[in-house]
Amino acid sequence: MKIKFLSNCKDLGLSWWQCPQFLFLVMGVINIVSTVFFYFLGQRYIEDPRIVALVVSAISAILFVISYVITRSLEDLVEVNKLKEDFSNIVSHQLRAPITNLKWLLESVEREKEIKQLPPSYKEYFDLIEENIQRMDNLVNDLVIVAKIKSPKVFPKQSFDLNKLIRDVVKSFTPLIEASNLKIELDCNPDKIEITQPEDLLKTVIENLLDNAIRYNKPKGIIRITTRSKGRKKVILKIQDTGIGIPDKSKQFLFQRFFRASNAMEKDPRGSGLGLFIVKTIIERVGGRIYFSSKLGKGTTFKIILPKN
Amino acid sequence: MKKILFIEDEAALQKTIGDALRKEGYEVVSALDGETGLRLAQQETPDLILLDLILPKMHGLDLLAKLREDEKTKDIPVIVLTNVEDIQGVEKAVSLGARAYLVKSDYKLDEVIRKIKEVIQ
Repeated sequence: MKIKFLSNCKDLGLSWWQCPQFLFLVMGVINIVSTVFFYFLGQRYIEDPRIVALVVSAISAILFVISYVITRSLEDLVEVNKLKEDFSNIVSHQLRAPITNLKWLLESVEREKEIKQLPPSYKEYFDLIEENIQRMDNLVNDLVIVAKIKSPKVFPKQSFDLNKLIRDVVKSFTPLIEASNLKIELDCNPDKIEITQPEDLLKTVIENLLDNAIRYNKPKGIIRITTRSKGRKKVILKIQDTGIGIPDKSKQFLFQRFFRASNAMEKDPRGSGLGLFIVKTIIERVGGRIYFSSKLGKGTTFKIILPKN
Repeated sequence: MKKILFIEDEAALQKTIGDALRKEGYEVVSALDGETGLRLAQQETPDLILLDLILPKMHGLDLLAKLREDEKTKDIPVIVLTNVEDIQGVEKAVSLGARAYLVKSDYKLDEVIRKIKEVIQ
């Protein structure tokens, strides 16, 4: 029989030294060794070493029971974690399916010629339906990301150019940036910064921060994205806006799940409050750090220090 | 007229995509589960198969593997259209010769139709 439990632990995202069965085995070995050790110790200092051995064995047995309970609890925790992953799969499939149905049904209706003959108020209704479907879609996407962020299987590391990723994200946001009457400046130096990280997760970080910089900016405002290599091992990414800023009393809660600053709620009541929580969780997951500075009414800068791999 | 087999258990999607494809001049044959999908693929030999993954009676990836084993169906282009965002699933579908793997929630209906047109041509 191979040491199957180590591969099982690996499948569940646990390292060998975190594997409950392995720890159990180690504890058993330690217990046996200590029993023998105490036996000889007892032989030397007490007339009848069998008593010492018996006591130590009894203690070992108790320790075995306790450690067994602990490892079972750990296994339960791992099981719960796995259920969470399964849940996110269910959410992603079962909740997304009806949302996609609604989205495509609405598109089908809008493609019909007769729709153009309806009074203008109907167009407003359709726009509102579309906007609400989009909100549901965004919320489900956020929840799925939150549930999956920590899984190395879902988001594996890969080598890519960070600046190209930024340029691609900016390109996809260009219509929104132009419609919001904003200007964006990219300052990426050197031109290519090769890193080995989960690309999809970092794309989510840039998208969320850029989306905030657009959403909470002022008309004719500026967004500036800067990247710099810091030595051979790190990279600095800054996303700066000239928007409404963050009130001082809100700063300490900024990265909390579902938190939204009062002025942000006023400007856009539709956000889920998960965006910055996701950003921080991802940055921590990839071993980086995130900071921000903000002045109310002047703007906000997010600074991320990221290990290149 | 080119023929598309659409294997999808969501009746609403069968309606939206099916109608949109018929308007584009395609003949659409529908299957609501994996087993029926496989049987229709062998009977009808369509020009393209649009395949969901989570299906009753047979998983989409198993169905894809069976299509590739059958001389009659092994060269039919397949587009996977699903809400399952799973790297292993994508890799397996691509290794079984899927021409595209589209996550439904990432696409507009028009974009899906455009992709189908590209592949069928």
